[in-house]
Amino acid sequence: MIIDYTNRELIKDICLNEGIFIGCSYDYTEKELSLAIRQTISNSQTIMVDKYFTFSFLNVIYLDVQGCEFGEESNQIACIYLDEAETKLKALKSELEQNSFIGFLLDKDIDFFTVGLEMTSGDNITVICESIDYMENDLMKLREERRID
Amino acid sequence: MNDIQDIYKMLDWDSTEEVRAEGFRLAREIRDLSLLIMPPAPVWEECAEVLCEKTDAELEPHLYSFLEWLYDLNWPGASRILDRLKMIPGKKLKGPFIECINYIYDSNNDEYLIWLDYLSELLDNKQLEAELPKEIKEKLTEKLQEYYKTCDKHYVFWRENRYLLEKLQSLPREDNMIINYANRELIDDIYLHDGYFVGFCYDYTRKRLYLEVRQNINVAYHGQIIDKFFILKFHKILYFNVKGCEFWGSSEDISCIFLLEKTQLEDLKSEAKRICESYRNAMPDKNIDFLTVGIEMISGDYITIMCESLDYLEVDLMKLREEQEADSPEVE
Repeated sequence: MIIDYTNRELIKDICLNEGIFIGCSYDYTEKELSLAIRQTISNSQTIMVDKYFTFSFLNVIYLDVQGCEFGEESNQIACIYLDEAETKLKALKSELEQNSFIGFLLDKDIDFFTVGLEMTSGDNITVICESIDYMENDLMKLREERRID
Repeated sequence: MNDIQDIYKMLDWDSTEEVRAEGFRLAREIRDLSLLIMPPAPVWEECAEVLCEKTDAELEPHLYSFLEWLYDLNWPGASRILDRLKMIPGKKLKGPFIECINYIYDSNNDEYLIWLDYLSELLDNKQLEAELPKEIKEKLTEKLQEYYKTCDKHYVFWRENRYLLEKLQSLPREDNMIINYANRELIDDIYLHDGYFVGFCYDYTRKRLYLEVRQNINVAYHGQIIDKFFILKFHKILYFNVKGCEFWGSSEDISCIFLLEKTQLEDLKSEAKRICESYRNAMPDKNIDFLTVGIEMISGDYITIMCESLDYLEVDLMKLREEQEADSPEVE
């Protein structure tokens, strides 16, 4: 599924709570940030959710990652959200104007949007991009289908 | 008898050390090893550790599944499994390996090519290489060449020279290759100008960032004057950001690496205080002297990294090639 500025509200429907984030890779040439998240939620008896998410953030013009573990040491995600205040995007645009930069990417007629990942540790990851290529795999369902096959 | 789900739970990183140790003990007793292969729980690394302790005979029935684990070397446990497979006798590994190569070759699916690339690392296992029929090696080479054409030049360089570069990385390091707050001025001596930057990998769990730079400078009438390869590993990263707006235009070349004296540490400390007033164990509050490194690109983009230390390796490829030629003059 591709999420861009026009359907960005879909981000609010993605539930990544308790998903494990171990890191990401960033391709500067392609301006692409890739990350994968495994979400396993279980009670003492059974696994209730077992999903695997992949995200490719495309045309990334800004990224910041905190690793401060403000609250506690944890690599679990609290949530993914749409940053509607767009504070950092505004700051980038203003930096561009103040320094009379050409702003190769920002000047193109692209609607960028800001996505945040909040970690249980209190850390935040902010990405400003043009679109997200997002895939959600329900591993329990896949296993069930394979069993039936 | 413990339920397998209980064992997975015990192995989980979130469990206490004692519980994890008990989890490992129980996992080692599991007879059906398939339960430990890419299990339906976030304990792949732990299961890989247990599996790697098994004998070749115990692992033999599962070799194909292990090769599937190598589909993505970023998957937890995959590197460990790869290292273990390199020690499996070639005669045993040959069958599943050929099956995998044929499957990838026949499927004609481009998404499998990266898997093939990872599988090719098993040729480090000289016994396996000797066992493989010529036809399989040709299939492997053909597909890899096809794949490399689609990759960027840095990746291809890395894959083709990985034996040498991995060997260099494992050599004992001089103290001055570790740059921390005390000797941070050394950053100003690193010359990365015109180096080609393709990206980085960030490990949130260990708070590490890894990047590589190839610096290949050619001058008219003199030809190649610099050919270097740099590996930079940033440790205990508190914060980093990347601006990729291409302020001046598109370019992957680095302008310079520098030390930033003005840092955002105080901002992060206030943030820590705001988030958790009573909590005093957040990274910015620990008694660590962080340093901030900036990398400026020709495009006008820049990367800022605040970390505890930086492990830095500079390889002069021209010198290495000369040494190699001197050692074996008959080899082209």
